[in-house]
Amino acid sequence: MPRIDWLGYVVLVAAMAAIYINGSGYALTIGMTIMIWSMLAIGLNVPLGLTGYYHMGIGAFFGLGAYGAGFMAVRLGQPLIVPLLVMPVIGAVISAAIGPIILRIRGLHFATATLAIGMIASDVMNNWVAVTGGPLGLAGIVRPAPMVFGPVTIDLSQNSGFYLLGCALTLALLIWFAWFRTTAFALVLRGIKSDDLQTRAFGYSTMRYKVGAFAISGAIAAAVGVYYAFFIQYISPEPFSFAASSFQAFVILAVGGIGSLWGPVLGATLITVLPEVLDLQPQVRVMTYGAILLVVIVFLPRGLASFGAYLRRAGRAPAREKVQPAPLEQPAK
Amino acid sequence: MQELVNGLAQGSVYSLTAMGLVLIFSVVRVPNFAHGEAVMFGGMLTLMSVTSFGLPLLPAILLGVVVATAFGLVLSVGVFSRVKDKSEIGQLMISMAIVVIVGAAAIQLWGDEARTVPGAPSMTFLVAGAYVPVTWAIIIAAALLAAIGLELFVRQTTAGRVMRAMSLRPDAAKLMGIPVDYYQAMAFAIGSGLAGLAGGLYVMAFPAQASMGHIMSLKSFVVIIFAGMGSISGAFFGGLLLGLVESFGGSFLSSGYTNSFGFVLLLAVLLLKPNGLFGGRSNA
Repeated sequence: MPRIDWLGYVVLVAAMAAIYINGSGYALTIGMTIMIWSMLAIGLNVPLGLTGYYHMGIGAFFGLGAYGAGFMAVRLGQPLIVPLLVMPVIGAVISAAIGPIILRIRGLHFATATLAIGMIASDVMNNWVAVTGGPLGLAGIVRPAPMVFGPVTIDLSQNSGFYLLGCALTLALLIWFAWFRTTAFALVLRGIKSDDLQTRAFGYSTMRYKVGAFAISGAIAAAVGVYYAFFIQYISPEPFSFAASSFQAFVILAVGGIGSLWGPVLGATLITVLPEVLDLQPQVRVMTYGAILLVVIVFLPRGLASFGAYLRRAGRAPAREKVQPAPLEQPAK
Repeated sequence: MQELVNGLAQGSVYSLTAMGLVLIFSVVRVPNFAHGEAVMFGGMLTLMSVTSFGLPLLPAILLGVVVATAFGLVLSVGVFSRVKDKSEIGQLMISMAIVVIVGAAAIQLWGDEARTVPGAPSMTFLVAGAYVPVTWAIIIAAALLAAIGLELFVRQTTAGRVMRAMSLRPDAAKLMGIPVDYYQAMAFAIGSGLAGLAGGLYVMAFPAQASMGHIMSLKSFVVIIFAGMGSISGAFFGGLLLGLVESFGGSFLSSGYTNSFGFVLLLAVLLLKPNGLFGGRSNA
């Protein structure tokens, strides 16, 4: 069992509580936005961080969840819980169906194929008017009524109550990911990342694991989409375009630290808060994302999550850094 | 018949762009997702030179090509040659960052309406029941000439032979004393110049806009993947095929899904022939 990073959870829960106590609509909205991006980035972390597949189309599954939720809520009058349970399953099934086709390729080819999936999803959102409402989108997604647990009432129709639901989902997903990355399944995924052929030689049918990772990310992204749809209560194709969804999730994960546990949260916080603080125009905001990405790749290639390790290393005696690992012994001729 | 001509005209633009990308991708081996921005520069500068500076069309296109070439040189010398030590994902992230920065700057600078350049020749021929605007004929002819020219360049000239050597065995090429940095910059310049030409020709016949870069990048990657990496003629025919699929799909199935048809074709090709339609070797 690996060491549990209590400090991280304490800081996170404290920050969540601080936002809740502050209680202003603005703080809650920022908080929920950060949590949505954190969860999406965790979903992306499974294929990208653990397995090494450059998934550039997570926005398609995010949109799938949101539109599924919108359709069920607006056209079928279903409450939040139904899409929240159904859409992840649909997301996983669709990923598992596409997975075997596109997971045969990797690297840049895979990135392009997933980009293409994102584009197809955007086209469907804009054109399948009967279900998606086309460019106008779906309006009137109603949040559920207050839930009463004895003395405690959680009013999900209010931002404060809906915020708590987001906190619960985010914490659950973080704890799940902290556990998941120690499992044997995740170990095989890491094996695929470093050497697919070698892992196959060890007797693992890597395709099954890859499809599994892809399906997990599809399910998570769809669930986040459901939460997003009920958070924003109006969905249109624009937030699911490449630049607004897949790319941003990628930037967040890359800035936070690909493959790390806390990277998604750190990246989501930075990318959400910074433009708010600086109050930028939309195009300048996009440029800022690009600039942040460049700075991180150049100066902190393993993301913000590696910053602590970086500082620790810098704090120690620098001489030890320069010690090279002992060369491997040459086999006797 | 009309669909055939539409598809060939549109596809020729994809061909030009994809041929440029093939050259860059096989010689320099970087995931240059910013390639579409060179198309955008070609298109927008042609447009701006004609509308704002009153330049005639031909010099305007040439200016677009020059600027796109310069953009490619800047990318090569200023960016990609400095990040050779980064992992593939690092390079991909860098090119994505360039895409969003350049794309957003272009929208800031030029706005994002789709426009066609005014004053392009507007003659139209009637060939076998299909209307062929003369601009389309020019685009198709230019793409064909560029394909032949590029093929001759890589086969017949020393620089071309060097580039083929570099694409086959980069390390061996270096050991043979080839100044790889010089030829990588040259490949980048030629490839981006072709993309700029594609943009300049595109804006003559079809509306171009400042945000077109990333979709052009994506389509040229789609072309070189389903055509199979590393072949100029593959990229040429792949581009035409993509144009035809979009054109026929758009008019017989649904015009709203025009972009999707090419992507569905890509997925179908990956399912049936993971190495690409014209590719024999493994490239995954």
